[in-house]
Amino acid sequence: MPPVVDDLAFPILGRSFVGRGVPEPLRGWLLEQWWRPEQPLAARRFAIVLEWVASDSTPAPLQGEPVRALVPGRLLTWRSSGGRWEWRGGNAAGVRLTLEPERARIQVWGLSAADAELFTAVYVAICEALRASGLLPLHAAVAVPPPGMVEWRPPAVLPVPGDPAVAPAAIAFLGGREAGKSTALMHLVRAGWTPVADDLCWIDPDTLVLYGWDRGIRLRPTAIEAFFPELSGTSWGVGPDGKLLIGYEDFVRRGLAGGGCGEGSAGEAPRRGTLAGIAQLHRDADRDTGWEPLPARDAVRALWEGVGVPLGTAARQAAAEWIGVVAARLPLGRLRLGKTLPGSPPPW
Amino acid sequence: MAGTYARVDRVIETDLGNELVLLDPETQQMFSLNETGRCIWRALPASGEAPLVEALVAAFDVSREAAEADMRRLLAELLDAGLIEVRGDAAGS
Repeated sequence: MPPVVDDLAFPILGRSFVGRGVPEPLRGWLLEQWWRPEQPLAARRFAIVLEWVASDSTPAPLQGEPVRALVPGRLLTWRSSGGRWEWRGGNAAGVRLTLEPERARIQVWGLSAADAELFTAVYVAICEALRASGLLPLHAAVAVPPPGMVEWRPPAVLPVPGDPAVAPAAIAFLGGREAGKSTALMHLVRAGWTPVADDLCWIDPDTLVLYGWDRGIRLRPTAIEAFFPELSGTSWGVGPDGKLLIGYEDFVRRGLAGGGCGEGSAGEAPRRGTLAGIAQLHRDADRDTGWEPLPARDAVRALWEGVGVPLGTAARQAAAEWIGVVAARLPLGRLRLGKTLPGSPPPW
Repeated sequence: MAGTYARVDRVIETDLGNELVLLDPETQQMFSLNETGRCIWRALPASGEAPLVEALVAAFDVSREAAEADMRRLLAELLDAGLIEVRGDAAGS
């Protein structure tokens, strides 16, 4: 493996991130997954340091309790001991996460830096570090309804006209894989909603501000053909899962409604919202699309699926407390995806 | 049943105020507890059934017989769901 000279260094939502000695393609993956200059935040006192460890310097296996991390498509088993978590996989690969106050150290090693399972473990470790720094991941489609469409109730935080510090009230649409989040989001965009996230955002649990992490909406070719024929005929980027990426900047170019949040160039504005409602998606092909009540306990399940279960006990407790508050206080609804198109506001 | 009734360590609680939702992250199974169930859950770990019955009688205006019936039903459900376990034999219970 050729030596790597330059460190990676960039902020992740105000937390500093440094990657030392990271070879390709892991280096490129880190930039693609975690570098978001479009989401600048004031610097926080938390440092994430990722180090590629040479194969002759890997740490001795951590002895500890097994903990499982379930991420989409994979289940990884880690060992946990006193503020450290370690995963070991095939190809002599491994990741060790050490959490300290205001710092996370991630050691990564393996025979190959092109190991998909290793990337997943690194993803889990960085997520865990960001959780320790005070953020929560939320796998959801998030959108801001057009002004005046929804009658928001407290404790919804409403934007003060002219105050860019307060992100507009947004609804998070939760659902597992193939629940229809992206397709529903695209329908909402066409109905005038502004997209904040297609699949992943990071949320400040104290302020409820959501930071969109995606760069567009990813749709299957069949969904484009069936519902959005105006998008056909363009060579969109194709992901490893066969989904096509419709970039947010393309919304502006094509004049699609709700291309951005805030003023100015809508496609380039930071994609942010303030969580003001929770909607769970539910498919029912035999009925018209519409809104139904969502019991709080069902919202809890949906939120746990969206937030994911952290590795650490403290992080689990923090997530549980946050989910309990959100499910008990925010407006909840179930959006039944049926024969007709979504776009109507929730009955709140 | 002899032994100590205890929560399984990995189970996560989410408190909704009027309802306690338990999640087993291994099985993804969820279980919802009302006020009675919350009282029993909060009383764990418990050596045998007696402390749990006492907790219910103290918290609610119920007869001992009704409390025992509620407690046994809930313990059976929680054991079946793998959310609690019985550890060892408690001396004298």
